[in-house]
Amino acid sequence: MTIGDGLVAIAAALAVMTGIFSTAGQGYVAAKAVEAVGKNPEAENEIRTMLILGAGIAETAAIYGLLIAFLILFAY
Amino acid sequence: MFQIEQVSILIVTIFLAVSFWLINKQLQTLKGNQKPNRIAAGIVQFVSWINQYTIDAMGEEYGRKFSAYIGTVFIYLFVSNISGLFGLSAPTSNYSVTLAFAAITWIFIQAVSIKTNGFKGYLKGFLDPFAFFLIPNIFGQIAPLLSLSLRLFGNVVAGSTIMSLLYMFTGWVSQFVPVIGGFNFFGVIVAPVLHLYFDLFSGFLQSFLFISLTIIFIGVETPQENG
Repeated sequence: MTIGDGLVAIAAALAVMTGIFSTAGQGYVAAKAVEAVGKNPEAENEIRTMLILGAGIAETAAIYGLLIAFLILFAY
Repeated sequence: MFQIEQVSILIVTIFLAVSFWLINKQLQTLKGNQKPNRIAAGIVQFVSWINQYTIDAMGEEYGRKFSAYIGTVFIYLFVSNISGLFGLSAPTSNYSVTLAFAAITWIFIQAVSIKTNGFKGYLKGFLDPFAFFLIPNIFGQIAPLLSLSLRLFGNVVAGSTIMSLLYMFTGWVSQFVPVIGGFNFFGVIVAPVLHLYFDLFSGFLQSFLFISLTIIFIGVETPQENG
């Protein structure tokens, strides 16, 4: 255990912090979907597909962060 | 260099080839108004769903051509993503595999773009709206390749890494159980729910996202009939 290992761990933690805003975006997507279902309950199935698509795309940034964190942890 | 995923690619491909052959044989023997059994009915429904989904986004002409590719990619990616459940290391946890799939999609995007605009128009598209935008446009053309492949790869790798960390942790915890020390029995309790999420749900979602984005990227390049 040197100080370098600690710095690598901090760097990985910072990379994972992309998840913060990605989560906020996903919450926004879900809130909008709830509103949309409240307005037109008959379109529920299409809205669910849209919700999952939008949430999946919003998740991308968080996954990139996680990937970079793994790279930092295992490459150094 | 030998990589462990090569074995699982081989197993998944053989499994899919055999099951496609069997299902095809079953569908060929189906008579006109005979009631199909449950598997055949499911397959027919799946194919018509893929057809409808593709044609809705791409239009009649291109949708008919591409729906076979889209359906094949969906089945292959889904089976590879859930192959982690059967003790294989998922083929999609190797970056070469996802990069190959994204590259096929990317070549299709460029080909459809060239076919729609003509080669001159395709090259002129790089200078749109004016010449200064050349470098951003080149990056914009390459971005789908990276984003499609890295999204799928990152998801599968994240899932399998988290699962292996979980198994290490539960193995360490169950050392302290007095009688059955060596047996990882907390893992048996905790893991199934997470496998359900990381392998089944996430695998389905990522393969669905992959084909949706493929359809959208190609659909943007096709000529629009109305407007």
